[in-house]
Formats: sequence, structure tokens, C-alpha cells
Amino acid sequence: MSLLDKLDAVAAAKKTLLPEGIDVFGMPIEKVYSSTEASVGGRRILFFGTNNYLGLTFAPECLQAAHKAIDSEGTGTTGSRMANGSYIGHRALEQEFADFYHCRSSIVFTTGYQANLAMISGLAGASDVILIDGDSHASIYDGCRLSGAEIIRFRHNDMADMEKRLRRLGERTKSTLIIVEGIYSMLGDQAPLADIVKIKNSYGSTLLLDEAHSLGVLGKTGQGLVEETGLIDGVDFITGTFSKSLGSIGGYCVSNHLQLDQLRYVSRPYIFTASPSPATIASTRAALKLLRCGSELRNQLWRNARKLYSCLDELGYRLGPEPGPIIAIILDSPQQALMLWKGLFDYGIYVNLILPPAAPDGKSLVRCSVSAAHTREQVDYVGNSFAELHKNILR
Amino acid sequence: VPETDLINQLAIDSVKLLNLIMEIEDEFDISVPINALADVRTVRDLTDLIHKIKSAS
Repeated sequence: MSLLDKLDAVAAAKKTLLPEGIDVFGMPIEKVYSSTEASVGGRRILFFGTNNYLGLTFAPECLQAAHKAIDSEGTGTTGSRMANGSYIGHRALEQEFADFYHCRSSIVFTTGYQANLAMISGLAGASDVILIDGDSHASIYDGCRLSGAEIIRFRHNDMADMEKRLRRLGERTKSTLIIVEGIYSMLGDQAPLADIVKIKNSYGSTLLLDEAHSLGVLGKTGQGLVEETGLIDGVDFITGTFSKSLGSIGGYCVSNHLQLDQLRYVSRPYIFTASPSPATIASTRAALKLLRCGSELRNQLWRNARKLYSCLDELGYRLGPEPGPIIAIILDSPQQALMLWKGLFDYGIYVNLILPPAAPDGKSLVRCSVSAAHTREQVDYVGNSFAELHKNILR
Repeated sequence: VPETDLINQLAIDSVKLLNLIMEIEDEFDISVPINALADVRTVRDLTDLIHKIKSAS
């Protein structure tokens, strides 16, 4: 058996499931008109699955900041923080995240994926235990594997199950890292943070909360679930990303623990990678300022989200457990999901098609993400399109 | 049969395996680290793993 046989198997599966003539998982975006519209195959389409929650990718302040940074600092840092140093912008952004969360310090990473790889593998090692929610993002699973620690899953959002597993660990709970997410990326539901913090404290474990999809979305100033629940003191480490509400690419971790800074010296996904480009840092700093005072954007986001969720609910679609900017429609089979995805695309609406094993429990989903930048007309158009398709697809 | 291959013969894919593991964990009151599953191919591998964890706890 050659190395490449497994890839032939992938090609065969792809050929069976996906239609000819349309590259579902490789859509060519020819022009981008705004945070909500683009051109694909010469047709104008609506972005309804891009996690651009506050619609900041074309905010004038962010564009100007990026332009200015390119002119003054060049296109890239061309190296890691350790080898090539930290630009003023990198240090400033770290300070700004720490201020934003009223925490002692923060570290900025090149991607959100790497933030999880770095934090998880830096905090936990071969003799430690990591307890993760079953619906955790791939970056969390991969960070766990990289760490070499023992990885134990608990049933999604199931506190009794989480506690059962902590009980079985005995003394080892003191060297256990618990990882949960503010808003889960596939079904859009929130973690029961109050219960998690209470249980974690009683067993003496360490808690890492990934606010990737909740930054900018929850809380008065957009800190995330920690602000919504008032529980930031109960969380040891918060990770997040620049690639959703902040409209760029990168990651961060904030913490009050003195030891956070030492991770710069042991975390390979931090050390052995080039640092974010000056333009990325600059646009992210501008976006963070807008996010902090963006309560009107957040209100608009939630108005749009609730509207679309209740519309789809009334139509009889099977949805995720609670309304939010991520709206997942659960279908009975990959084929049915593909039909719905294609139907929406034919209406000029580009959402995510999620096939097993990407979604929890082997589900097939069509996943939407709503933005503050979506107009009422756009949200209505999407609702009406789902209504039309319901008749044809889900009789 | 102990030699039965979970994935090829019983069509247990990675998702089904994780769900199966959850039921086994409830039944025996153990936690099975998912890292341990990398070496599990057959029914015997699975039962050996469960024994090992149960006797260690």
C-alpha cells in the first residue's frame, strides 16, 4: 500500500457524494463587494456563513489602519517573535487585549487555531489530563493531541457527565485542564459557564474557555460569555480569534496567571511560526476599538439572528438548541443537506455545508452565520428562500 | 468474536466508536482516554483496554 492510496479513497468518496460542476468545498470568490456580498461564477451572492459577525471587514477605520501599517512597516515581519522581535503594534495589541478583559496579560498568536495549539500543549503535558466537551472544535482536539496529555471527552454541555469524569480522576483533578467554548461553532449553543466554574473550583482544576464565536457577540462590551455571565474570575485562560468579529486573522489568550508569559518560551506553535503581519495587527487593533463600543452592532446582530432563527423554526426546520448568530439546520442525510445547500446557492445565498465527521455526532448540517451588516431585506430574502425550499426538500 | 475488526467488519466509524465508548464508560464507570483508542482495532483490543482501565481505577 502506498502513502497515496488513502488520498485516492478521499477522491472516490468526493466523487460519489458531491455534484459535478460545482466545487462545494472550494467556491471561487471572484470579487468581494462588501462584508455581505460577493461574486461567484459571475453571479452576485449573499455571504450567509462567513462568521463576519460585526461586518467589520470593510470598516473604514480598519482599512485605513492596515494601509498605514503596510506603508510604514512593510508587508510582513518575516519571522517569529523570538527571532525577529516584537513590533510596537504586537505589544500594543497584547496590552489592548489585557486592558479589554481587565486581565494581567495576554499573548497574540498567528491564528486562532495556533492559539489553541499553543495554549493547550503549553499548559498540559504527558502526565496531565485534559477534559474536553465532546463538541469541541478541531483546534482543541488537535491541541490536546499535540500536548501528549490524556484526553477525556464529556457529553456536550452535560454537567453530570463532566463531574462524573472528574470524580473518577481522584487526585489527578489538580493537574487537569478543562476546556469548553463560549458559543459552539457548529450548533451555536452556549456553555453553562456558571455550573462549569462551580464544578471546576470544587475539584481544583484549571479552566480554559475558547471565546472564538462569542467575542464581539456576547456581553455589553463584547468580551464574550465571561462578560454575559459575569464569571471572568472563574476562568483561568481565555482564548479567541481575530478571524470572526475582528475581521482579520490571528489569535489571542488572556489570563491573570503570572505564568502566562512563560508560554512564549515553551509553546512551539508560538515559537516556530512567523508573527502576524503589520497590516493584520493594525486592522485588528482598529476592529477591537470598534468592537468594544459596538453595542449597537451587537443589538443589530441579535435582531437579525433572532429573526432568522424564529422564521426557520416556524417553517419546521430542525435547528440547534438556541437562537444566536450561528444557525444550524439539521438534515436527515448528507444528500438532503447537499440539496438544501445547493438550493440556497441557486437562490444566490452562500452558506456552509457541514458533512460528517465535521459536525458532532455525525450530523449533516447546513450552517448559517448572521452578521450585524445584513440588512432586514437580506434576512427576509433568506427566510423566504428557506420557505420555498422547505416545500421541495423536506416534504 | 474477539478478532472481529470494529471498523472494517462492524462498520464502526470514528463517530460511532466515540459514541460506543461513551456507553461503555457509563456501563463500567470508567473514563476511556481517546488517545488510547488509536491502538484499538478489534473487539479484543477494546475489551483488553476496558480491563486495563477498570483494574487500574
